[in-house]
Amino acid sequence: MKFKYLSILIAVGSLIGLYGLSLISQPPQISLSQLPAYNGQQVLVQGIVTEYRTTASGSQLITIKDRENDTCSAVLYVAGSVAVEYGDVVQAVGEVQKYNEQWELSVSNPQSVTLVEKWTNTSFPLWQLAEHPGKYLNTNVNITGVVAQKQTSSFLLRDTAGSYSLDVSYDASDGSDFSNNDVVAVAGRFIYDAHLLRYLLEVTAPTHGIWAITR
Amino acid sequence: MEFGRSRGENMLDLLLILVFCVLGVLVGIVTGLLPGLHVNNVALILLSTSSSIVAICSPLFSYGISAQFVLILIAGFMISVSISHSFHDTIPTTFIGAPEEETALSVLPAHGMLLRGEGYKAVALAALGSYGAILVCYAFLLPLRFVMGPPVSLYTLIRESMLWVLIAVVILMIATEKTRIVDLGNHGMLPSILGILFAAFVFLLSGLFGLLVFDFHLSSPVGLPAPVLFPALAGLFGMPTLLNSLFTKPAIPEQTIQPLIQNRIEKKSSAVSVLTGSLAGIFVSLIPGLTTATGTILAMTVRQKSSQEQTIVTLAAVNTAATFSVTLMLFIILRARSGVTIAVSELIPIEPWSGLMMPVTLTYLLMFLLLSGVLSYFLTLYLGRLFAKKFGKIPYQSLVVFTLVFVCVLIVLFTGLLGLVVLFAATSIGFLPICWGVRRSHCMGVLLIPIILYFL
Repeated sequence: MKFKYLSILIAVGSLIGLYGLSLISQPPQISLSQLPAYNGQQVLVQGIVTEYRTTASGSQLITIKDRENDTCSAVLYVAGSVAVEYGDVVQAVGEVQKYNEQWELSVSNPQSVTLVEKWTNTSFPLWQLAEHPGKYLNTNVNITGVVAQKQTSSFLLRDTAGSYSLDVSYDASDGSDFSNNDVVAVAGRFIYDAHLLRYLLEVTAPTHGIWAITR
Repeated sequence: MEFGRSRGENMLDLLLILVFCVLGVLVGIVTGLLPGLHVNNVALILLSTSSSIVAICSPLFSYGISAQFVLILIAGFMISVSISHSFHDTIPTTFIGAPEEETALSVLPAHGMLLRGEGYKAVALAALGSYGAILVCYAFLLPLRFVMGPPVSLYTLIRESMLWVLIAVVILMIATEKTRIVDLGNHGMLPSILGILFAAFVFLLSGLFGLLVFDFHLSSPVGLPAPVLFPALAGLFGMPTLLNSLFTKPAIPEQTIQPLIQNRIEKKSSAVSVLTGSLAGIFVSLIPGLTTATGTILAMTVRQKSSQEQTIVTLAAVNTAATFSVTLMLFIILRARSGVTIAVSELIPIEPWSGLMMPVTLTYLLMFLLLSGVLSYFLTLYLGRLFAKKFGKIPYQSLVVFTLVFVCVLIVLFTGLLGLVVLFAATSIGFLPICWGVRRSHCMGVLLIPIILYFL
């Protein structure tokens, strides 16, 4: 056979080979609780962002926690920065290592951190938050409920059945238009207020907000 | 006293700029003369070694030179390397890798001239094109600032329609493929259609390859950064030419060496080539995923009929204009479109050029661009003459083998053994255009298809 026909076969063949290799060489996807077993290896993990900050050297530290088991968390040490927010579900590939008694994933390429689900795209009713507060603590959430006891910078968000309620604090100056008994969607950060021993939904960041659904 | 001291410091600044520029040009000569080392790969290597370059330059800090200025010097050094590389790589592309004329499906313009004994003229024309592009870019500094940035903000418009721009370029690239494939018969439109279909095939295959390898996780055995693009681009563009020239031994005639003299018509034609080439180079520096090869196709489509000579001038102008313009665009549209500008933007803070006066950093970098351009022009002519004269005595095959081994070693060091696998696959795709005579730029599908999918 002429080399030029052979060249097509070799090219297609090597591409198929590469595809096969990519199936094998994909780092294993593990849950955050399995990290210690993979020390020093490349792995793929998923989790919800609960904390993030940029260090003086320009690296980013992102704390994620397991979606199923909220006591399990890890730090992503990213060389570069990634646009994430509290509550985003992200996936990352990196090398497992232990730093200051905390398991972390060293991510050399910021592009290895990918967004699986933006927090704003998932909204759920109040009872779901009330039954699993630990799962959502310190993340951004998008909650639907009914407004009650509205004051200048806070109100109580109730579910329609009236079995749960949650304090919401918001900045009155940004012109949210709603009143008592409206059904609203509230996008905010779900935190624990240690002073008053209560959970609180804080509406502060530019991506947060309160929108009336029905009045 | 004060004045005298500050003038002394200014002199020192200028001297340092000169030193770093000359160093950059010298490094660019080395990388440019090594066949098969693409400027993108050089940039990747520079990018990953930039922290060690900073470390080497650290003694300068103790001489009262501000850290920021040292970083500007290093950025300027990298820019000088890329400009010098874009001038000097015409020497190996002219003198190395020429096929035997009777058997080759397509002969690159520079190889055509080499086989006619005009290798030096080809180099001189390329140097003219590159130098002209620098002058054109300088002339367009302010217009580019106001057309791409505010108030006209053409770039915003391009960015919004990026997907369509990219698709249009791809269609243009594939549809203008002129190679006729006569394997299934030689009548009517069939050979031309087959040529275009094969071009599309190479483009898609490269795109699939790109989609596959960008998910690969390469790691360097010695802890260097492992860019997957390094083996991918070296395999698609560098290795096939080198391997091909190992297997063919063309009879190359004695080279004539005459200074480049052009008559009035040729001069006018060259001026048009430089202008269209420069504009195409500026265009590709705006769009992600386009390389200078695509720019050349665009420029040649605009120019229509063109001799081998003018093709060389255009090609060189596109190359150098793109290298120049990416630096400029870093400050106007704030996008790093090449390895070198990524390295620069990581080294120094980029102040956007938003007013009338350009940022000081940019003025320094422009000094590097101009200086390295002038130096490279004369050095390219000198080295081209040397090559043409001593061509018979150069251990040609060993040089090619050395380069092949060198590239492989670099790839193993940066990306491990898996990088070699990527290199092999890329090389096998890069061989298709050479074997079938279609344009090599179709292999740019490796970047274009993933980018188009990203914008979809």
